[in-house]
Amino acid sequence: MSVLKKLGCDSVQGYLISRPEYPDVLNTLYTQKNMDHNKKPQNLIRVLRFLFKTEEL
Amino acid sequence: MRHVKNHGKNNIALYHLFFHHQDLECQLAMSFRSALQNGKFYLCYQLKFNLTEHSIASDEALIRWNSPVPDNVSPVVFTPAAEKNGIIFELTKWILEEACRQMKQWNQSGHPIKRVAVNISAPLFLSDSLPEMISKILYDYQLPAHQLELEITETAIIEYFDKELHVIHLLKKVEISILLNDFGTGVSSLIYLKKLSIDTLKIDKSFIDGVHTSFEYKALVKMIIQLAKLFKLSVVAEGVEKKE
Repeated sequence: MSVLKKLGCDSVQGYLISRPEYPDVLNTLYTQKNMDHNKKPQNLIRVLRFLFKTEEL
Repeated sequence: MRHVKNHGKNNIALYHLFFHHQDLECQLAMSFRSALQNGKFYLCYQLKFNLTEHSIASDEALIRWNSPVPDNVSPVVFTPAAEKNGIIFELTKWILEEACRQMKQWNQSGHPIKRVAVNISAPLFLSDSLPEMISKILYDYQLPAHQLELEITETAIIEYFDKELHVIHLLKKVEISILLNDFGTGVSSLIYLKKLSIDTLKIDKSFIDGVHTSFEYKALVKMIIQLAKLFKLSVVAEGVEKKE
């Protein structure tokens, strides 16, 4: 991902960021931070932690 | 037996794997309409992450099918079958409606996702009714046009270039964003970049897979990105699986 950023790529898509998810999963991640951690998609959590600068997710 | 009947009866045919694919397509074609009516299709969403703004750029709506034959058949298999039997029009309309309904719901809940992308297959770009259909759906769900992005494949454009050019111009009139998918896998004629009013290039996964290990792939990706910048297009890399 960092190589692509250096090359000037604007956006990235792929399993490193997120697998295809049900809308409910995306809704739950943003709206209910108390969801069972084991049920969350781990790739997406890493991105969300980065976005919201939080470890709560 | 169907193969023999289709080719004049009173004959024999040896089984070939191709017949299996034909049978599967027939079975799928027969199941499409009832599946659509009974809610057997559903959408999953894959995020695109903006590297400069460090935010979610958009998400791509991907169709899935809880199909009876066989279980959960891949869209790679059922999409061409849907194109062949013409149900792709109804299916894409359903995808657009469902994606827009979901986008509206995300807007209402203050979700960070601000744009949804929908894949449009080549036959739809031959239909002048596509821009009208999209405008109606956006109106019905009270969504601004910039929240919808259409993804079209490079190979589809080659086949129907002149006709698609017209439809893309109509879509641009209603300010729909267009993304050229799988860039680099077809002929990648640079004339498309000039003539088509597209907004974004999506570099194919096959290039991205090699960018960390191969100097040649890295050079190709760099060239595509520089080319896109010259045409004032944004660039999405698909199939990113490594941190490096």
